[in-house]
Amino acid sequence: MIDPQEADRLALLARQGDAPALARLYREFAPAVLAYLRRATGEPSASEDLLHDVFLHLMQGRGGYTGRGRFRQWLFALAVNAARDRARRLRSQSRLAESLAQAPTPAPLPSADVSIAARETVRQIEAMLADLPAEYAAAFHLRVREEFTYREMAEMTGDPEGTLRSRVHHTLKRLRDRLAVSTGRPEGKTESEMS
Amino acid sequence: MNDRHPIPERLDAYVLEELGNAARREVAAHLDDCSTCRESVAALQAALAAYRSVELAPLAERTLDRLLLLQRAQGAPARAQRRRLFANIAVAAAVAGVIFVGGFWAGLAAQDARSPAPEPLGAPVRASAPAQSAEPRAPASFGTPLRVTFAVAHVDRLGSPAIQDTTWN
Repeated sequence: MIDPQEADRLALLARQGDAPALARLYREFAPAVLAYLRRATGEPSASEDLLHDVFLHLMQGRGGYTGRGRFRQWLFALAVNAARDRARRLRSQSRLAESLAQAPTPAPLPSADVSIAARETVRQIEAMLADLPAEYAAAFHLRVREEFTYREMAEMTGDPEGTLRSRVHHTLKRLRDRLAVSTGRPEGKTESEMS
Repeated sequence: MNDRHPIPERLDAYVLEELGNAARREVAAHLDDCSTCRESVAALQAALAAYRSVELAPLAERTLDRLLLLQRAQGAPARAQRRRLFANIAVAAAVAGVIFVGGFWAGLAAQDARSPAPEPLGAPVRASAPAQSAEPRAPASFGTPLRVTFAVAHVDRLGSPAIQDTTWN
């Protein structure tokens, strides 16, 4: 695990052409960035290219990172922009639907030590996310998997915090529906009234 | 007992640990008494934990290899450029140094050759006559600016009769 100050130091070295620093940052952060890109684009093969672009930005000192211990957030912001740019390009070429149809996202598997029930849950979550607009799935992923705060997500995406919060809670509602999880009765009713 | 169920969004926020202390305590107190909400929260927590447990896809090393190749390709010219720049600076500094020292000495020589040396206290005026007749050893324009500065320093620091006998061959 690389702490934020070490990440800053490595980022500076990587920009100066230090190969071990770049490799270390890549091995530490690339898996999570790639998972996000797959979620945000729905295209595994394109995600590899976007991951390459993200680290190319880092290597070339583009993107204006100045340290301050927020390397991970900055790197994900690059990934957010990379995914958006790709979606924009595809939309402009009217190939988004075709591309998504040709390259469905394979459902990732939970760790081997996870129970069968958990595997089924993950399968349902994957199916639910695949039905949602990409920005909802991406916001859910950043909040739940990467555990960014809404403020950090707003800084990364440029979207208002309220919008991001709404997307996450909408996704959770869909998840509850799909899992047939009851969230209790509507507020204002007592248990005795509901019985 | 709190018999009002929190709205679903509040339970979501509880699961995501987004509530402040007071709100969190309030929801927790409700969960202690409400098995329905407790089960709901537990199910959501389990689902999110399962999602977080999904293994990250293995990295394609070829992406890193491509990046490292690019880094080498971009780094090599940059390093060579830096080396060339430093070499050029060193050469320029050396040339400037030679010009400066040459000008310095030429100016000094011209000063000695063309103008009378500063008259030391008590020295006879004719003592500087041989120097006036000497040929200038550097173009006047080359040594002129340096001569003024040097002449002052010369007089101030070395204003003794012996200086008039000094030659700068």
